[in-house]
Amino acid sequence: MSNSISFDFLIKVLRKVFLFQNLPDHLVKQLSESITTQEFEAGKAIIEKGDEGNAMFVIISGKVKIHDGNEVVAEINEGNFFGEMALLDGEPRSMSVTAIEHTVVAIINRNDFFNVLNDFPAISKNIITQLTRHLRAQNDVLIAQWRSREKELNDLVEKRTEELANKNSELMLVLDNLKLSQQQLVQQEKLASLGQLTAGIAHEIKNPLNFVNNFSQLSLELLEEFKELTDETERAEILTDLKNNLEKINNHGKRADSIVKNMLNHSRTRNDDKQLADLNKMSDEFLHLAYHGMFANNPDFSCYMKTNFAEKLPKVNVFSQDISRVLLNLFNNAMYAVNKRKKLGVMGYEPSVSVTTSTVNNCVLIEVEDNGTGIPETMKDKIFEPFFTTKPSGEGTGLGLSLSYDIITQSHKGKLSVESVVGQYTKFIIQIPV
Amino acid sequence: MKVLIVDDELDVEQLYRQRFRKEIKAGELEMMFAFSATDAMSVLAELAPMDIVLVLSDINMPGLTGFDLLKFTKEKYPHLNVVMVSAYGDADNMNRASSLGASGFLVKPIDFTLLKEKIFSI
Ligand SMILES: [Mg+2]
Repeated sequence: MSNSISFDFLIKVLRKVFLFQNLPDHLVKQLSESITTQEFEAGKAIIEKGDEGNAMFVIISGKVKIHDGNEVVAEINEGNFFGEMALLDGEPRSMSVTAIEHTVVAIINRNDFFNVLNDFPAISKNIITQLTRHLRAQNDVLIAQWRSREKELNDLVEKRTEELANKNSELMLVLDNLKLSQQQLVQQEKLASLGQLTAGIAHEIKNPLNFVNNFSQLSLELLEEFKELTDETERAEILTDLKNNLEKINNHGKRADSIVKNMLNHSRTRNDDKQLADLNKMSDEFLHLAYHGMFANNPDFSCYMKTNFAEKLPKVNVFSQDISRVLLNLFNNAMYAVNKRKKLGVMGYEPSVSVTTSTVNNCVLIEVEDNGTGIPETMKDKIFEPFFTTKPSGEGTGLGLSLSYDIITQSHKGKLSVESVVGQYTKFIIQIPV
Repeated sequence: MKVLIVDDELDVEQLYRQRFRKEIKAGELEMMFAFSATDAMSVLAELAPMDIVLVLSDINMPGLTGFDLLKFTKEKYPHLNVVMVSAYGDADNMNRASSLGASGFLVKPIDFTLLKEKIFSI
């Protein structure tokens, strides 16, 4: 027992403690005799979590907090006690206790406490009541903490949900933009291929138009001659010529017409319906358009063009504009490849692009083959990917083949495949179900 | 006088034959046709070049081009006149033709009066 605190005062204090309220006088006295007191400055630890629980404490003066790290479970002052739990169950301290202000505590040792308990078992009731109170209080604190945590958590979830919703609408916007740019890219690719076509178209129209002009001019002159002639044989000759010329005019007129139709078809934004198309005719026309387009852009360009068209090729229901883009793209690539190989300057190289049609298993096959540079094995998987291009920047959009692939496999439920040997050939095979 | 006309368009034959009907009938002119540069080369190899006075060649033809033919002809038969014919009358093509030794350049559609003059001035 500390010298500064009187025995009587201690008895008074213990009496005030709920736990010892009903304790007989002699036992309170006995307890008081074994008690020691200790002083703690503000901020000093009285109990540390994990300490051995070998005593309980009664606050004689001052104020302490019961806490677990930063979490304060309770603040108690004069007349209250703490540390009885560990005393009962003998477990290490589950909480720390620290003085908030200058505090004096009375320390009741485990053995002394148990002696009192033996002599006066009725105290157990107080202990249980007290424990229940403590537990309840602690429980309330925990529940309150849990509630506030729950609220925090709910708030957090709400905040996150809102953030996600915002992110989501942002992403939707990005997606919309992407779709828009994709459409623009597709349009750009169309325009690029149309640009390439223009030269080919101009040439392909100019040739038949020249014939139309030449033959009609010629026919006018023949008619003049005819009027003056008297010799029947000569007149008959001229009539034959005239008839032939009119046929030529008609043929070349149709040829020009078909090219213009193709061009309009090619540049139109979208075909609404599939139409029955003669793929031989389309292949032939676009092979020549591509050829003249290449030539107009590279005056040195030339290649042999071979066509092997199946005689009774069934007409196929297609989006003809889309198919024409695929054909043009494949022919352009083929011609680009042969031109590239030709530029290597190997003697005796004859650049050649061929197109072959056939029917296999209820499918129309169009094979576009060139004897150009070929495609390395490692690139074969990538060539159908968007933006993949081997051309120098500015020369290709890298969309041609990926669009072609989509057109054949998606819009026409067909197949587009490639075979190639580097330095020998490349063959694209379009397969469209009839 | 024998002229070899080279063009990948088959109908040029009918056109030229009618255009030069009178000259052909009168025996002033004989026309031969080839529909590719390779064809033309074998025609030239077969007929002694002295038999032919003029080659009139298209430039843009599948396979070997008119320029290839021009080069070949000028190397093998330097004295043979070659006149190029093309829908593309740009300076590049014209310069190229003259640097390879062409004796003329006609832009399609052909002005036949001009062509006649050209042929008979040889
Ligand atoms: Mg031509």
